Amino acid sequence: MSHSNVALLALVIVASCGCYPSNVIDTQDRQVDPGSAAEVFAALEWAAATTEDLPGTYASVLIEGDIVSLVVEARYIFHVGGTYSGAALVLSPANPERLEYQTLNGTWSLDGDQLVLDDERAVIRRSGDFLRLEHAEGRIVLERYELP
Amino acid sequence: MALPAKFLQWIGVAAIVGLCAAAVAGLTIVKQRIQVTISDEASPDAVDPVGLLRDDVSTLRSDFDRFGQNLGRELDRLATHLDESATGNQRVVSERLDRIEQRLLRLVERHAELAGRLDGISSLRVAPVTDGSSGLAVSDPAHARPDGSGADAVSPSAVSPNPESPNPESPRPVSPAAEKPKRGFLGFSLSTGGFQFDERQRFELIGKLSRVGFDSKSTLHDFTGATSAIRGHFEAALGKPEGGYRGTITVESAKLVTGVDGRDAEMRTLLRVEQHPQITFAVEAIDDATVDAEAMTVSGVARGTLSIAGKTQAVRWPVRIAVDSSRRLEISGELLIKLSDFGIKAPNQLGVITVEDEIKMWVALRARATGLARSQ
Repeated sequence: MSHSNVALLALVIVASCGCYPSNVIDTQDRQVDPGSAAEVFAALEWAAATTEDLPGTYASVLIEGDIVSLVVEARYIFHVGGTYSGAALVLSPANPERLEYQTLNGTWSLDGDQLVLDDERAVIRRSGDFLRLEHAEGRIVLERYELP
Repeated sequence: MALPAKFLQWIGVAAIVGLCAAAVAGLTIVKQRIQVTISDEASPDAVDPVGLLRDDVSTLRSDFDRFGQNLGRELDRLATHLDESATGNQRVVSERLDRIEQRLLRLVERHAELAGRLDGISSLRVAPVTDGSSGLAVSDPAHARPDGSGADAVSPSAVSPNPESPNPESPRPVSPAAEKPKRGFLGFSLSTGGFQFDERQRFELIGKLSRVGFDSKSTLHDFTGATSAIRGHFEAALGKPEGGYRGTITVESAKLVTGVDGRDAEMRTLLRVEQHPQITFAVEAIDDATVDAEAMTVSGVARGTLSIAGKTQAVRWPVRIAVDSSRRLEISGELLIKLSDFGIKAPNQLGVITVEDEIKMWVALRARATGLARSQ
């Protein structure tokens, strides 16, 4: 290959590669954005929940606070009449290296701004299909969903 | 002749009447003595009443036996139901006892918290606040945890008066790593594990929230290759780095992308992804660590081995570990390496387009605590 051909080929390569802009990720952009769910829910207008609001099935969409590394997800079904059933995927108290499902069955009621699940209390607020429960150990946002 | 004829007639009539009378008398007498029985011919297979009675007794016995068997089965089922019911009741009672135990433990925990706060208040009264260099941190009630565990390093903004500390810079474990009671959340029984800044725990990388990459310079332009195809875990007591870090981070090298298909293909060839599909970093310790328990950050140099394309090199990787609002670890750091140290020849196109031998590897990881580490 003559020198002129090499130079021409190099020129073509340079020209073609020049079409690609630099794509270096800035240092501050390296972390994956975990999403802004917390901000979205914080921006909602939360109001007091009533007894009529609760009955239905719910699944957790946001868990915050100290429980975040202990509770992976939670689901509740609140029945008309004051009974409920709940399930949560949690770090096993017996074997802290594993996750396990726990289930609960009991009664629920509202006492002012608090949801009383048997003898546990959490401040409850409602916004549309979302319920926010605030407990000393953390906060959880539940979204209502329809059973299949 | 006429008289004998008539006489004979009378004798004949008398004889007939006599015979009739005798017949009637005989019939009357015989009728009283004779019983007429009308029956079928005698059969050799005639039903034996005793046999019938035996059959009846046999049938009754079989019915009785069947009744006994059915009764036994019913009694067994009843016993089974009673056992199940007893087991269910026992389970319910056991669950209730567990919950009562949890409540008692929470009460104990809150009692301990109150006692700790009282001690803190007493200490504050004894040792007045001077300035930030005294090693005395003032509490931030807004961040104190009501369950009492806020007194530990998870909530470093809690009261941490430390007038006895000879070195204000050194973090002080605020609470002992004593056995903690169970925790609960809306009735669910929770582990005492979870995120603990001071305790040795196991952390799992969250691949979809992590990214590993490299920045490379060439004569044309700089570029980044990155991937979230990451998995791994490690064990560490963040607040006590001297306790050692141990774990592995694995990256699927074939999933690294730079945004240019041809360049990616060449990169995979250079990395020999078929033979060495993974890039791994095995961490052994954090050296030169600086711990800020209040901000829950750790900075230091991760010492370990880095394996790329089948070649392993000891490296010292500066890293910074922080905790986000969801109690996940954010691990970031970058390291300059030479491709030639790992047997990789820097790409070169006809001597015109060259990629520098030195590249900057970086990590931006998130990990979540998955419980206490089983081994030290």
